[in-house]
Amino acid sequence: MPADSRRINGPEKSISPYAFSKPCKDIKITEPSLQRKDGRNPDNIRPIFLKTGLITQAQGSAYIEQDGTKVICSVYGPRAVIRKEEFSMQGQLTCDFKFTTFSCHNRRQYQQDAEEKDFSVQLLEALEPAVLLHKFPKAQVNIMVTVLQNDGSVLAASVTCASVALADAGIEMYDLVIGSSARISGATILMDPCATEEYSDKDSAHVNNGSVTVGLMPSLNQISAVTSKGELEFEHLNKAMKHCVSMCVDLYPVCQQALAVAMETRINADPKT
Amino acid sequence: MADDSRLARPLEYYRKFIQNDVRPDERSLEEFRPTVLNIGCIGTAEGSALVKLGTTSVICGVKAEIAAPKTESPKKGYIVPNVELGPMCCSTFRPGPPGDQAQYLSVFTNQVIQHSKCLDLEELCILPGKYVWTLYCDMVCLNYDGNVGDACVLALLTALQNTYLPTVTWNEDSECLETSDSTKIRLNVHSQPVSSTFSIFDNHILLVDPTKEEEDLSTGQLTVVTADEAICLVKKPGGSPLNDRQLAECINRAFSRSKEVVRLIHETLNSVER
Amino acid sequence: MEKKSFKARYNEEDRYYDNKGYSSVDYNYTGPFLPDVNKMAAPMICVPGQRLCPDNEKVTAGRGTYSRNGFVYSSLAGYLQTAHSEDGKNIIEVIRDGDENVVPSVDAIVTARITNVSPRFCKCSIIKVGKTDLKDSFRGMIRREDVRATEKDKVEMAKSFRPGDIVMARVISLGDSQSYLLSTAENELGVVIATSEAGVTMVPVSWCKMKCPKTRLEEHRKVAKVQARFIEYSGSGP
Repeated sequence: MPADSRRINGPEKSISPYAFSKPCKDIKITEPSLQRKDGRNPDNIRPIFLKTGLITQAQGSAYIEQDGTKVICSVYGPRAVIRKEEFSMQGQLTCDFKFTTFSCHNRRQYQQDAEEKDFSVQLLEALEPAVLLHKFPKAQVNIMVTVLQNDGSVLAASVTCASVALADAGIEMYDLVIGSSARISGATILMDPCATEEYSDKDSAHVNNGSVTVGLMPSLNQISAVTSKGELEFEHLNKAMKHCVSMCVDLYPVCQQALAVAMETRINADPKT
Repeated sequence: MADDSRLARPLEYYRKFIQNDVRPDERSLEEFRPTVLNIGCIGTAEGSALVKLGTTSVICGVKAEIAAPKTESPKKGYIVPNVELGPMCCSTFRPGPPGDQAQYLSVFTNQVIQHSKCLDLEELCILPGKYVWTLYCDMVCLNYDGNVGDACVLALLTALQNTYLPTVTWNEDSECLETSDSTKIRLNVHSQPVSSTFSIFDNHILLVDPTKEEEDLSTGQLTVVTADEAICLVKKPGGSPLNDRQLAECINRAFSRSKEVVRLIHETLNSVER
Repeated sequence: MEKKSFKARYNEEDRYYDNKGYSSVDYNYTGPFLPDVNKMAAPMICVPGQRLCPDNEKVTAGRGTYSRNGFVYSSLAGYLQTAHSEDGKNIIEVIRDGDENVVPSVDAIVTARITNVSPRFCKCSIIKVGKTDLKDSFRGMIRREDVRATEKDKVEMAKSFRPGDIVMARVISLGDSQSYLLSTAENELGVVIATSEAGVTMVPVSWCKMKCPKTRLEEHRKVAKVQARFIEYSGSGP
């Protein structure tokens, strides 16, 4: 990597100390014991903590914590378009997704890598159908998502977090978008996988090994985004998606509650009402 | 006619408050914002700390990696501090490489570490001449409401004090490194640098711990970094001149702030360890 | 699926959400009849996508709402307000009270700070739309021909605006991708706050002049005739 003159540079090459630790036994997630490493059942999701309004500089913000997965998101706008772009009567939505360098098991780089760019686009596509873009002609809304700690299901958590942040910012939306994900391995479907359970390309290539992430607009009962990885049979994918949808519906009250709490504090702080 | 609008005439708006020795957020001129520390919040980092200075918040994560030392100093490890002011924390920052201010803060935190000698780089040695620790300390600003420099130094210091390195040993038989996750060693922090920033308002009034609005209106800034009982660094990058009495005042305030902060760090570290 | 996991953190009373009615996806639901907000102790809080009531001839979907599939839904996180329109319909609105997201629209009155004056136009940054403060300013432009309504060809930009002045203006067009087009060609529009060369806030003496109370010098401006209904726009509100 070339030296970056804008940052303090360390040694040219460094390796994670965990590269030298004794290889631990491969975790077999297909085991029918129905107990996961963290003691959950395959259907169980991790406890969720969701709070809005932490970033006071932004128009709206949200923080989501799903045990080890911690994502913070801020929303700016509608504001003037920065770059010289063509005039459009539709508002524009942009999305910037970033892992902090210390968020993953192995250290991340400062520059946005391919995975982060891919997540930015997927997030944008999941949220765009939900926003009333015609309400802010020639302006843009910027969504900034930062992953503070990654313990699996990051994209799903980001979708939920970003849509709550948009609502907190007072951007008009048809509905919230709630994200959820599942790992499929053979006949087992693990909901809300953590980092060790997530599908990676290195996994053995037998059929029905992959993952799926769904973005659902629960009130309209429409799916705004689906993305799957790995080689899956339709039946299994379908079953996993149904599980994801029901997980989203379960999460909906949590998002409503978080927004209601935010609105309530807003009203109490403002004596006018 | 109205001329006190905060948005249209911020300077006039501020003057009205400052005349009465108070700031719009009800602080007195020499008062810091409430400081909150949270340690160990990032499980994937070797050490981490979240600092809130009023609404300004900075999170620092220390990630340790193994590298080869420089030939001229075979025992010395590396410490690499970087400040990230992303587009998330304030509307004025844009995505892309770090801007001037982020670069300035990165250099500043690096100077603080070097001048305060808070870490002995030779303690970061694993095998002389071959393997040493590199501590990547990344400070990410989550909410930019002024005085990010102080928050960064505090986050960095707290995160370092909360850093536990896995034991890495050289196995002579197999001639390779072995890492053991089970035993972790706490990093030795030798001194406690604390930074205090003052902003100069209307060329002569000193405001402690400025908010973003106050920074924007200020005519100059002064940062004093103390390390335990000594002054480690004084920075006054241009701006309105100050007289010696004012400078002495700032330094006194910086020392009293340093005591408060060190006490806060100890309380936080103790409360978590128990 | 077990709900216990997140209930543990949210064990507060579920006051606003009757899950049977609002959050589930039940198309047969015809909705509880509109709660009378005025009688309720706390305003009803809504989130985007929340179903508010059936959409029929008795109701109109107002600000912060939209209608789809025969229902009126909320499109904002805010609270519910109902009003009666002239034709006897109920207007349903979801509002945020001073915290709305506004973008300048045609015909809106805006407050702007002049940033740059050239002989043909001046540039400004819009800091307020109506009564709402903007968190981020928008770029605006006042062309020479839009400064005043009469004797347009005799307008001199330097005698109308100076950088730093606060002006009230009306949006006449969304302009190009760069800036909004503004006009001050009305008596009530123009400079409302200006600082003299001595650094003192000036007082208006005529529609085209302002006076510095310190040096007694007069400076040229396109001065707004401030009317009572506009005063709160310029920031003296409570």
